[in-house]
Amino acid sequence: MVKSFFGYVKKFFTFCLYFGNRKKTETAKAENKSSLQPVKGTEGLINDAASFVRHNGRTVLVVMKDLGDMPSWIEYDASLGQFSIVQNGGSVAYLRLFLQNEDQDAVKQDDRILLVTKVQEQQVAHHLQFIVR
Amino acid sequence: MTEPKQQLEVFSNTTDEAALAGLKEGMLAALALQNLPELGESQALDSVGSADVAEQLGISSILFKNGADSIVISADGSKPEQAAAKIDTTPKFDG
Repeated sequence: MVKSFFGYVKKFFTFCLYFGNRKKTETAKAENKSSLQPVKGTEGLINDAASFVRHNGRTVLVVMKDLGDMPSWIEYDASLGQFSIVQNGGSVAYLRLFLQNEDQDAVKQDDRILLVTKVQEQQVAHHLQFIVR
Repeated sequence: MTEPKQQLEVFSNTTDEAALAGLKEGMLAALALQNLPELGESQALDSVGSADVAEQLGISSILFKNGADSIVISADGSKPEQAAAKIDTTPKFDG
């Protein structure tokens, strides 16, 4: 009687152990799947044609590229002469455009920018926050 | 009385004329937007002719600067044969 009782207890613990481990394995598999999914948006240096202009209090950056994700905000690093386009999915695209000294000073006052990109062959303007470092 | 037209100075990473034509169109359309989308929002740009937009903005030509290279293109595109002219930025020494 005691033996069969301990037999049931052992079975119970084996059951708990099996299902506990199975859940962990499934979670790990799901995490692996998500990390294998392709990155949304554009990551890394962009070599497509681009231009930057300030006119009548408006700052515009045009990039002839479909980023594949919605841009979230833009940063400009004056020391590197580099724009960083941060997208909603977390991807960051970099763009090299060297501004002259007086323009670098002027651009520091800007906190909004119009980014024009190509989305399915249509030019789209995105009104974004602009950070200058 | 019409306002004097001005040259727009633009920084670019190219001086390829075909690429500049696309950049010019997007840039002028963005500058001409009457009502900006809300911050964080997007808006498709109308493919209005560059000539009309340039006229509206009072821009006669666009100077694209790519480092030491520069190129001027006509904003209205009415004179394609004169649309592009290289500016010689190298210093000249007379002796």
